[in-house]
Amino acid sequence: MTAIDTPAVPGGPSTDLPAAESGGRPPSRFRALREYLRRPLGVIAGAFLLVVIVATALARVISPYDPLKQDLFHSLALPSATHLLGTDKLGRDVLSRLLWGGQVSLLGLVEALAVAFVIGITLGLVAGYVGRVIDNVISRLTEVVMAIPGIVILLMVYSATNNNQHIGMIVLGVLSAPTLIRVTRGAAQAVREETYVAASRVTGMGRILIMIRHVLPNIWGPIIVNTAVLAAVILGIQGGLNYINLGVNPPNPSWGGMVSEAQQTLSQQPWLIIPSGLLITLVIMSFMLVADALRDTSASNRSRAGSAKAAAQAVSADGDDVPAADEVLLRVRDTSVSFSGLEVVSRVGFDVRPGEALGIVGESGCGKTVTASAILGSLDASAVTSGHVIFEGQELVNAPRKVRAGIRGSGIAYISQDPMVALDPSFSVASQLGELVGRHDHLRGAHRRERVIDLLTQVGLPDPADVARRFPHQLSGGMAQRVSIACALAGRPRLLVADEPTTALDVTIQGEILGLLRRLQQDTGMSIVIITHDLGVVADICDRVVVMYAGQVIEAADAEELFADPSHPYTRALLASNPIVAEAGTKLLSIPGTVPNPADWPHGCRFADRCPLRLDACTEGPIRLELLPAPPTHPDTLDHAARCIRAEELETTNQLAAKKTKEAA
Amino acid sequence: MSADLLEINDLEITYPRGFGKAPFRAVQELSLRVGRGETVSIVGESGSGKTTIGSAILGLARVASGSIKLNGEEIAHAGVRQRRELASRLQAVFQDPFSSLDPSQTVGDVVAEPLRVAGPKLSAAEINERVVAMLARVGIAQSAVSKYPAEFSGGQRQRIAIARALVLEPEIVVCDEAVSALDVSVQAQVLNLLDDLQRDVGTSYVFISHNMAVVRHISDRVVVLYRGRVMEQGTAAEVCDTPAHPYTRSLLASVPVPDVAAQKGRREARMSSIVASGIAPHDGVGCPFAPRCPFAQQKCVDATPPLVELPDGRSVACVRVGELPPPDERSVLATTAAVSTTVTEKS
Repeated sequence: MTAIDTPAVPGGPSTDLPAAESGGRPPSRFRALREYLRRPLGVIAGAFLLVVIVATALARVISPYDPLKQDLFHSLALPSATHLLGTDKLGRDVLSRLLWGGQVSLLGLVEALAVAFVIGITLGLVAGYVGRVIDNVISRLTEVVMAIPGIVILLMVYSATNNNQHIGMIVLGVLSAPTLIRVTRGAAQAVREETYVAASRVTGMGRILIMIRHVLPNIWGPIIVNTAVLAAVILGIQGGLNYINLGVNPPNPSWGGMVSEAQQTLSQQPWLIIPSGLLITLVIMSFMLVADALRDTSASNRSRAGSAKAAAQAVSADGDDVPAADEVLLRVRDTSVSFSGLEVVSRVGFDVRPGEALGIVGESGCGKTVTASAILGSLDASAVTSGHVIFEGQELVNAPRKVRAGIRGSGIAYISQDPMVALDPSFSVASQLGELVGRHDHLRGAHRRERVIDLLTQVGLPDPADVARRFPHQLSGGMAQRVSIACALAGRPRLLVADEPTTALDVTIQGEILGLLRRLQQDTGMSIVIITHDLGVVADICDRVVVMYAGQVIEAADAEELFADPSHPYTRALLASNPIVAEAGTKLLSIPGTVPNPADWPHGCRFADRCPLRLDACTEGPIRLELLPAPPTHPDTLDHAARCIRAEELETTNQLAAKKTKEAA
Repeated sequence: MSADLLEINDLEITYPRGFGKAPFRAVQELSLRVGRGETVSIVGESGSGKTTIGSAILGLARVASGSIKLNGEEIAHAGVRQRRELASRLQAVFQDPFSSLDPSQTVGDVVAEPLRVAGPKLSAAEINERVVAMLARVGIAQSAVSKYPAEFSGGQRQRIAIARALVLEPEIVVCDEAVSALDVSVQAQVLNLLDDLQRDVGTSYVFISHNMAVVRHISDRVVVLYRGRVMEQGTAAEVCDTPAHPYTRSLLASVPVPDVAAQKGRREARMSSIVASGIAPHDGVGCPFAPRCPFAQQKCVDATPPLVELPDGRSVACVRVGELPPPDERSVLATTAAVSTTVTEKS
């Protein structure tokens, strides 16, 4: 890494963003080590290997006897103070022989591993990154080597080289290389597709440089894991070879050779097989455990779960009462969700009436998807949900699994952003949809098929019989989303929760899917909760809107009212930063900064840091979600609430428009 | 030398489909000009070939035929050495801020890479100075140089990617869906940043996007692509406010706007803008949009409609362009909703 000292910034504009959310996190290298040290088995195995390696290396210094020194008066002795691990048939000290034998065994392991490593990484990297013809040649060669019976080759090598351990181990390395070639190739292929590689190619960086700078550092994880596994395998093979006296010349000690000697005197002294046999087993096991720990470490490094530091829970004492109507299908009240003590959704509340479409809108990190998951009961076990989610009078928060299962599909159904998630790639549409129909309607045979076609027709697929025969990969994005909607409709749900249902689709297809949802809502009378970041989608389909920011509901209103009179500065900013509403050639209004992390939520208004209208009072304590008086222009407007102490000071659209007209005149 | 900075003529890009099948033509007969300091957008849906064009300009996709000239210099088949020379004039910002930065490099190394590989000979201190200055310009504090990309949010990463692209002060930057993965408020920050940098340095942008609203806001000129062919091209105002091609009209009508009443009208306009016409091109001949076009006739698929220049200067590939009714007023993006959104207090 280049050491970068820090001279003063030469007159750039001031920065409007903090550089990083949290300062001083250690670089990833040390994090990997720290992560590894958290795994007890891996640490024990690693420490054991280290002790074995050091002890073997120091054999000359620490071994109590000459490994070849015979003492026929004390042959086949059990462990004692003079011979810690006993003696063998010729009275040689077992501990000394293990230490010296380890030099042969471990040196051989290093030789074989080094050869496999160098060949594996070089060829794997070239095959994976360069691809095409070279990849073909290397892959075929790899397969040939894998097809060769390795043990036969090794036997031939040993006999041809007069039992030379070094050459044998190098050949073993070559024979083991294909495993590493394949792993490296696969990993390199994945990295090749990353955009940062494309960026370096645009810069004119050569292939070799890209492989060294960008590909290799990002594939160390799987390579090291597989090298550790390979070490165990090589040690096993080597023990076997030594066992039949290949690679070592008795009386010189080796671990495998010692097992062989012990076996000859097994009936006279069964103890003798324990030290060498157990050592080989433990070393192999340790390599495997180290590999496991490394694999876990690199996996957790990839996912980068944020530090779950306990949040200062700023739960307000107020009731956050969103006004309720008499007839409510879904009532969410005071619902909070925390992960390991960190609150990510704070006392959210809203109602969904029958036949209504409610939009939950906000940017990423505002808690809208977690809120939806809380309704669905699909949060994972580490989440703690409190408050109430009442569906048709039934409490769902922490409800028994049976209650949930009764509602899932027939009461509440779900569609996601990626329709392919809902579809199993190995079954046809007819069989997947048929299974759902069978479960909900208990139909069989021709009736079941009829219902499947009905559902596919209902979601507007022009040739339902043809679609039914297809497999998910044969569907376009729009068709797949229609099929996933058909799956959701199979149980005739009263509520459909749709999480960004059109975000992954082309804009012309998005319009069709929104049209479909609206038509289904009219035809079946079901309610829809739609999670989206797009206020245009909200305007298109929603009757009511809940705007979320940093885990809270900050505004709730009927859709028309929300767009006519947005009463929270965040809602206004969200609208203003949309390029649709900006006049061409003007600056877009942008909100400085980003949504704060749950750990950094302030005690007062959570938007205050980014708000142009902030007062001191905004940061003094939690802000309540308060009902606004109905504006004179819309006296019949119900239920407009905002979490802003200055909400009533904000001008309505009509006032602004009037002012603008006056200015123009 | 022509007056245009980037000049693409008759570009065709194909992908092999295996033995016995004709290659897939991702882009056909594409011609495009980008002037200095100009922003030209390439807009289209998935499968339109817009990203392929960007890749071809950047040397990441193989060009089957046609030419791409930068300052009159042919770059369609540039090798590694020519690319290295080009790097100081041509750069890229990609869509995904999470995969476009190498997770194993510090931010300082990320931004310094173009300088080290393709820049002038500079000492380590000079490189560092320019990296810090560039980061400051995109609004990232200098303490970032020793941090890793994982420590930054999506918007901040995109700023870092922009810093990497602009550190050599290139003449032209290809922005491939550069703001698509960002939240709308952050998207606004990044669009404003691109605009500021263009004003300061005079960079040209080839802006590839599927988002008509973003395109209308940022572009000088717009090229509308469908299935690898140009349907319409003209100034942003012409294309977005008075669309001539039926496909452009349907694309614009499909954008949902945050206004309930307006959206109701747009919904109707959208539904009448796409139909199943039953008329389809065959053997690669004919208008690719004919099957969904409300105005499709047999003559649309008898031959592939050529891109014809209209009197007002824009080009349209539609044989019925003269016979079409004016676009549905409700479907264009010009809107007056702007007033509702000003974040101000009562005066």
